Amino acid sequence: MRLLLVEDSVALADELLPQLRSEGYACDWLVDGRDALAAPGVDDYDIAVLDLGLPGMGGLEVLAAWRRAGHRFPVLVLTARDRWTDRIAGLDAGADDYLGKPFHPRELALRLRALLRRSNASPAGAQLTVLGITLDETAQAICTAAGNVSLTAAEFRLLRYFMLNPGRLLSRSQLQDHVYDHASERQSNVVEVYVSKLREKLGRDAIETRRGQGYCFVGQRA
Amino acid sequence: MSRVWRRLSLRSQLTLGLLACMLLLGAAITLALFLYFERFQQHLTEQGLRERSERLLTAMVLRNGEPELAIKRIDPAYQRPLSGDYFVIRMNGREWRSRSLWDYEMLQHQPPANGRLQRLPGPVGQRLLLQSEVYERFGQRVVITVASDYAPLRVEFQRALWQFTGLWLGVLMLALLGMQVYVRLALAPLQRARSELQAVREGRQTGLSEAVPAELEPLISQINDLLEHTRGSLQRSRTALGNFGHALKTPLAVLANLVARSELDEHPVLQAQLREQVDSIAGRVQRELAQAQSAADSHAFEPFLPEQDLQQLAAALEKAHGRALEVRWEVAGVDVVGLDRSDLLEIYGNALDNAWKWARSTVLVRIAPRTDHWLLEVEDDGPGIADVADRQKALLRGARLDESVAGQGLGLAIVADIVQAYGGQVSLHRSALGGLKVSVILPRRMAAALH
Repeated sequence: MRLLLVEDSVALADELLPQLRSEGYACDWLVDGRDALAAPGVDDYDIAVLDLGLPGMGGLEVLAAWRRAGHRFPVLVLTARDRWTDRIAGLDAGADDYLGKPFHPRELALRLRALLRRSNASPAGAQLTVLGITLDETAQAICTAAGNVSLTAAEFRLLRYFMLNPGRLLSRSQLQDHVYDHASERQSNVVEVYVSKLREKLGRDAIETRRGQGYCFVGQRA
Repeated sequence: MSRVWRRLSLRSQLTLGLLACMLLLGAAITLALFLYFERFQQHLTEQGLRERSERLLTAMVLRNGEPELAIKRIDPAYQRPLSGDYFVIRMNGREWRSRSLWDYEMLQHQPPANGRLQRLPGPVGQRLLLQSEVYERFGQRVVITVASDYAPLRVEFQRALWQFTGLWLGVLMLALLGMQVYVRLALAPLQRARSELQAVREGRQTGLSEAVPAELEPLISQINDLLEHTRGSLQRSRTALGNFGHALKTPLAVLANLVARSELDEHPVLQAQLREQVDSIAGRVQRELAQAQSAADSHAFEPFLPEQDLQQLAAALEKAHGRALEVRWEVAGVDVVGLDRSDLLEIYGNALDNAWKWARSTVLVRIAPRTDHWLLEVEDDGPGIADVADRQKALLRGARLDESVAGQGLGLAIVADIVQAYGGQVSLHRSALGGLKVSVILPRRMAAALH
């Protein structure tokens, strides 16, 4: 999941980025509203965390501009201004959720997870179950009748992305963009490596390969 | 004395002042009349007495070489006993007394000096004014003393004085009555200013009308300046407090995240204590901000449109919680006046946010006018709060009954704060839907139009 964090407090971003990465998000961080305005045109984001008091351009304006430009990814507004009148204005401008500062780190994680599920029309709950496979997002593990099968961080990100886009054909570069951070993990064969590792844990048929096109998550058919 | 005077009503002050003025003026006029009368009377009498003396002198005739008083030539009043007109003539050891003197001895002492007037109590309650004149007649010295009773004149004068006093009192009464009416009229602008101040307090007006009498104008414009100044400084301190609170929130968010770091997992007690303190600061900031931003004591209310605003709120909640609930509206046809939109959204927002978290399928939103207050209610069909003590706790500072549900757990406490700022009450009950019912009573501070 590629996440865009727009936050002008360096200290807060410094705290949030490692946490978000450990939750399995590939994160980009921007400070200025004007940069944020153009960002979704450059990269394809799955979700954004947006502060409202930004230098350059107000968060609400950025949000409204994103929506006007047709970007539909869920946006969680993270702000100190959290009266209900502000919230209504934010949600009206196109936000999907609104979290007032200060917040508990766990709450942000839960809200982001819920937003992603919603945007992919998956039912809410502690576990994500798609096409016969159950993923515990907190434990970052696959739940099976025999017990939990734990996943590495990279495997978890990839599987969650597959599970939130079930039955959809996903190209290799698309997977790279949404799952891995630009700098650290982009190597040509990283997707192949992790897909094969997931197949070891889920069974060969869970992820189909379409030659020259990419991969498609089909799960375990009963 | 001056303190007692200052605390007297203006009407009493003016009444007393007018009374004092009129009485002084009346007394002064009476005194002046009295003095004038005295002088007039004296003048008249002096003149008259001299004429009488001279007439008596001409009545002295020589008969057989002896001076004699020709009775026929004198005023008959001298002949009537105790008539009030008297004379005594002394000439060369002889004395003529008017018959009217009867047995009254007018000149018990020496007659007064030449031309000098003298007052003397006369017979039968008469008051005599007498004068002696010295003449030369037939080569001899004649002393003529005449006296006249002025008591009847005095009685006449006193009657006139009483009549005048009566008339004066009548005028005084009329003046006092007129002044009561006038004071009422003159104080009307103050009365109006008072009711306008009330309107300012209730936020229906921003200042006092300056169309007032010239004397009041400086006062009214001073009050308006003061209102403007107070409003300005209130607004400034509110903004400052708001900025301060908002500025604290991001560092607090950083702190809350730092506390959750895995490095601290080895020191769970320390971590818990830090978290507790951060939460306590955050809760405090949140609640102070909610109050600073409340319009409860401000002058400008943004109008609240129940149906439109609440439906917008419900749509926002549905979006934020990601689930649609059946909302039962009991808000139709309520024309709300005198409640601030932002505060009502804060009250309903927090209460509904809570309801949305717990409700199974249905929430109820109600706003109803009562005779002297507004009744705002939010109900849900969730599990509710069974324990009465827990219900109380939910309204207290930073209380959180269930740690497992997301949120800071401040919602209902913030509702309680805002409602308190309006002088209202919040209470939690069991809803007929099965869950929690949040009841808010907001006093109706101003005339509201109802349908």
